[in-house]
Amino acid sequence: MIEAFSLKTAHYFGDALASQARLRHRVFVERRGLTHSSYDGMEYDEFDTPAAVYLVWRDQKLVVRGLMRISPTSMPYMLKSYWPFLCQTRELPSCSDVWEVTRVCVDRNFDPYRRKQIFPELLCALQEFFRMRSIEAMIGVTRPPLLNHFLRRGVQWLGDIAEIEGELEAAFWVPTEHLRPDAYCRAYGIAHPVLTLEPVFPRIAA
Amino acid sequence: MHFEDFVEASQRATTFDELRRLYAEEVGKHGYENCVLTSLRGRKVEHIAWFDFPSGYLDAYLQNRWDLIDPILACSVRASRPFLWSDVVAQTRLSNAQFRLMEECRELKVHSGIAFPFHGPNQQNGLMSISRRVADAPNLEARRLLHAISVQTWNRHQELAGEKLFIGPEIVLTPRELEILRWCKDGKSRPEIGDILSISTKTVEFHLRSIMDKLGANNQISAVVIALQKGLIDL
Repeated sequence: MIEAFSLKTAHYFGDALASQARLRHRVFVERRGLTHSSYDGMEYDEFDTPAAVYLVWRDQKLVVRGLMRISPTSMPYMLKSYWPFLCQTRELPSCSDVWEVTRVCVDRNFDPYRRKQIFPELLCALQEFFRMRSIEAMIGVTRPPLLNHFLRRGVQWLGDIAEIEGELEAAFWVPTEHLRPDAYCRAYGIAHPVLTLEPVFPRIAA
Repeated sequence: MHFEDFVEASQRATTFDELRRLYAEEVGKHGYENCVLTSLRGRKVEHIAWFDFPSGYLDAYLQNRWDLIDPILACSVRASRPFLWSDVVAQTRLSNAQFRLMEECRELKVHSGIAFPFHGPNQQNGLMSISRRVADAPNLEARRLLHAISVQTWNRHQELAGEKLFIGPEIVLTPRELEILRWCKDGKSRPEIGDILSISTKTVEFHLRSIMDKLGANNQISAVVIALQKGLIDL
């Protein structure tokens, strides 16, 4: 299951907000060596706002092992603020029905058998969240081989590949109807619904 | 299929998938059930055009970021000709992580491969790689024929992808890159340039990296000197 929360609802999910920041620190600061803002083993940036929603996969010990951060493009967002030149084929959106996906990561140190399902589940949860809120598409920046591998249809690349923080990445737009990685859902038996707006482990809620 | 027939058949292919099936079938006859065609920029993976791998292999490769430590990728950019994966193990010093990677590949039924590197202009490289799903030694007798088949496949892939035959020899900086270079010449720092042009410092840094790549410069100062020497900007 994928849990979704924002700053407003984070207190229902115990340590999840801090746990996702710690995962980001392990992935982006420690492993990739990026000079992102961090404090006390937690990574953060200016896009961790009240508008951001965190989709997380937690293990039995309530440690976040997979994460996506999503924000409406009606607020400042990474692609527009940092890399607008990546968007060459359409205008950058500024509206509440297109959301940006950032800080996507899965803990490489987690059990490989269970780990492989996390990213497909995150994509399924993303589609469910978008449908609940009538959001029409996701936008973001990533390595084309990664997204092309999971989403075989519907990915629109918005411009040329460029080196972004040491990786070859490009900007993408994916309509909501194409977000579910069907082949993986069949292979791993991922059924609806995957998303919950309530904590999976309520006994630890604040 | 004779090589001439393969050339003819591949020239008739009008889609990447058709080309992949033809190639996979042909290398499969020689015991190579796995194949992949990758576009690289330098040694970084830009695009995986197509592949035939056992289930789960490419997932593991992408999610574990094996491209960052893959010794085959690393060697492909400095290889003068095709090479066996075993050549990499025998002739280069692999890290523990790279040895583990090769072991995990074997567990995922990706063995005993041959890599066919293609070196293009402006660091636009390609890599085709074939491998076995069983722990057999590579078929060395067919190696040269497989190279020829891979060359033809790569060429046809480039044609289908619409890649230009000749890349222009002149260095072309975009108007934005020229603007940033002029401000560098005037001694402005990156944040100052960002303020002047109303763009972020990160965007300035991105453009500077592109400028340095195009000019073959190691740093900002060298880039300015080279640009002045080539008449791209004035004093």
